[in-house]
Amino acid sequence: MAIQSNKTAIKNIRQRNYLARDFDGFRTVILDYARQYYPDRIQDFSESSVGGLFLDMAAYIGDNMSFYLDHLYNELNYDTVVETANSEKIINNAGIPIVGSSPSLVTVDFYIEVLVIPTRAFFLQLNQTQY
Amino acid sequence: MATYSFKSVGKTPQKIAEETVQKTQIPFGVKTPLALGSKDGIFVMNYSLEDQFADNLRNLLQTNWGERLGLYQYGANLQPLTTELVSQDDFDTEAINRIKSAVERWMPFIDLEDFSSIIDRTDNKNTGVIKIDVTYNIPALQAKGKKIQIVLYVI
Repeated sequence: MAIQSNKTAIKNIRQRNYLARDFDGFRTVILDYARQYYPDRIQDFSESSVGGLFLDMAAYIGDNMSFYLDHLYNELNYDTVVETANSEKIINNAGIPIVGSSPSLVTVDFYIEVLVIPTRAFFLQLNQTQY
Repeated sequence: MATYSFKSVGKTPQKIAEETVQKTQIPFGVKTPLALGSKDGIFVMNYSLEDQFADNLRNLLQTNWGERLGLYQYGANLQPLTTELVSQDDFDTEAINRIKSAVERWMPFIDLEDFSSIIDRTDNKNTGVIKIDVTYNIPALQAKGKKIQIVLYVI
């Protein structure tokens, strides 16, 4: 009895591949799975057949979900975030207040060079001093 | 007078033999147009390669560019010709070119043999129905003289 149940348990296990990430990967994995476990149900998966169309649709859905999973994961990191709303959430979670636009302040030192033009009174005074 | 129960009737040897043969046949692909299957599974299936290829060829010729998911250039793209129908000779030449290039690209194992078209304008002079007959061979299956008809409506 135990042997029988073990056999049943072994039969029911199906090997699945979780390494696919993109369209081509999903298509290959699904095609392998169908050929391995359903060879007596359908065989034609060429581009022209309905089987090929179904295969492409399934791979397309997988690719779509994989893309959004990657996108969501990137949106959690401040280094890879691209959406403004998500970057604001990350900043708020970090405790940094987001303030509105404010006028800027700056300290400036001005220097001007003044050319002194000597006058006649100055020369007269200079002459008197020499005497 | 003999009395029989309906439960004891069962199946005749001929019926059992037919079902056994049918069960041993492997379905190649889904038959189009899609129809709900009874004992085939979800859909009615094709049990011979010739039928499957005929189905695929018909789908190829009736598909226009951009209609197939993921493969923009899949199809013979015959629909645009129906809006540019001026003379039958020009239509035939362009249709033959498109069918030939599509088959060479997507179903290269099919050998096109003959092409003929009829424009039926009996109902309306401004519009019409184009019936295209394509004769083809499948050398790998030694199938010769197979015929398929496509109907296009002139806009």
